[in-house]
Amino acid sequence: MNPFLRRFGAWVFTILLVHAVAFLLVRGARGGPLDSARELPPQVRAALESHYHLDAPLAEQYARALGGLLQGDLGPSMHYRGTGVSEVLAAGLPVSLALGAGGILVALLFGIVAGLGAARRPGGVMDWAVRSGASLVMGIPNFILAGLGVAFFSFVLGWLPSAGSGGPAHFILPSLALGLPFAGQLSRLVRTRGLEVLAGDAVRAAKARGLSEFHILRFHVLPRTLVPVAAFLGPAAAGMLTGSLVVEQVFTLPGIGTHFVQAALNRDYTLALGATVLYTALLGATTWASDIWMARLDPRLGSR
Amino acid sequence: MIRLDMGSKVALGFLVAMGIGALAVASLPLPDPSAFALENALSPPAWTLHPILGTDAQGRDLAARILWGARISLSVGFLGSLVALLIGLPWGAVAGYRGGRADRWMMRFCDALEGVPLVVVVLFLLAILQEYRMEMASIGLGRIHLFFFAVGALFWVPTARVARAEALRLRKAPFVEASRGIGAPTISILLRHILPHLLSTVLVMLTLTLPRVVLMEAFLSFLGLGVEAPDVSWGILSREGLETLNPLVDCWWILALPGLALTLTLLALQRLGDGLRDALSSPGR
Repeated sequence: MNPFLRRFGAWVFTILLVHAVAFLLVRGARGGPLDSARELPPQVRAALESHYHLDAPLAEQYARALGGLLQGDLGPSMHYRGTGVSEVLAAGLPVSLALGAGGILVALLFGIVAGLGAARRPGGVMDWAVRSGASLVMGIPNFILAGLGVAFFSFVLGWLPSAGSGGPAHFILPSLALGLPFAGQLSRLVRTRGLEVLAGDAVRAAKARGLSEFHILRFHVLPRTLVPVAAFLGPAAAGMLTGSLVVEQVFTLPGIGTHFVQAALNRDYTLALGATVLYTALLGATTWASDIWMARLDPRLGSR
Repeated sequence: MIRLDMGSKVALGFLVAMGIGALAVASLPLPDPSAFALENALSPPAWTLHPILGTDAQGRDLAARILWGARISLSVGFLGSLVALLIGLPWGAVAGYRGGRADRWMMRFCDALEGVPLVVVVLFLLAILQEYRMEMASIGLGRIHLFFFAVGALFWVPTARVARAEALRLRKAPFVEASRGIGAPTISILLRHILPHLLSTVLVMLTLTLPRVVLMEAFLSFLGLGVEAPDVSWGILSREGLETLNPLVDCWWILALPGLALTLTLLALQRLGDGLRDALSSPGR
């Protein structure tokens, strides 16, 4: 069977499994959607329960939830009355995707440039600076990094907005906070691989032809370092998913992460369930994308 | 005897000092970490005098809060890593030793877990379990206890993989084949021959899991889903620091100092773990 098709099957299966388990937990948990501070009269309660099919047998409720999931309808939110979970998540998704794209861009840009720069002269000043910088950004938890960034760039210098979402400028600090730790890891990978490539015959031949150093790095070294980069992107995307929970919180970006954390704090379990399923889908999709890229860079990997 | 390199020794020294500080904080001459003193709010660090590391927005002594926070952060880190070890080690050892179909299925389960955003799922679980806090309190379980299991569930897979690799290697070792030959039951081979040989691996895995667990505690507490006030942890201190931070008042210490304690501890644990791994795998041993 086509490995990509198999991966797709595994992806769908994981989503359904996470959804089923989360569904059972939500239905099993006390504190249903109708438990608010206000006591409801029994008739109203019964009417609402039958409206939301909460009085139906569990199997029927699950069948309805599954049907909804396939149509992209995750049911009503318990906290935001009159709003569907899908609407809340659809509003948050572009913000989160923009943040994720920014984070990946920061990781790739800084990681590759710094890694190649360090590999150019091992033991040199640049190498030392890159390696210490990488240890530093990898060691500092991203919420501290984000806080210090806000303190310095927003409060001391006043260059960038500290919170909220308005325009591209609002995404610069969050993307840096999210992406820099991964840029640190990536720079190490690129440096190691770059050193190998630079010592190889291809680079010696290119030097003998009198090509400029920039040309060699750009056209001979960079393409050969991309396989570890692509392999790194899958786990990195998973890490960024987690990181974005905190970064969105720090910068009060109205993405899925903020909604999810608020839902967990507000006991809005249907929204939390929807976000969990969406995160599972996103994680699978990014891992898949990273695998496809890897297979294109090195066709031997695709046939696994 | 394990020979550590200089960097690991420094890291170990820092961790021991932090540990002693956390254990002995009650008898140190520091103010009560939750005593409000609004007239002293946001005093900058005095370094040599009182308050050594300054005070927070409620006038609470930051040095005391960081050390009390170390108690919770480090104990969650230690117990959480222990839980991860207790799940991962038997899982990997059994999978590696049994081999064949059992191994395939057990490892496939680990692969499947990697397709699930575990942090999100654990957050979801912690939120749902909040509904049962009364029942849990009646049997002496608080949110912090749930934490150990939640974190253990997050981080056992890498330990299981390493343990499996070791067990696969040991399976074919002469002394294991000998005891199999004289008909020793599987369980006793696992306990008496496989597990003791995994000890150095265990030590390394424990040190390398610790920073991840400490960070996860800080992460969850920072989100407001972890340790709760009046308990103090580094995650809570970071959260408070970030909330207090504003452009009008200069109060960098309130975020930077707890952040520094957390960062240095994470770096030291990572360094020590790397050092231990090198020391234990070097041929000179």
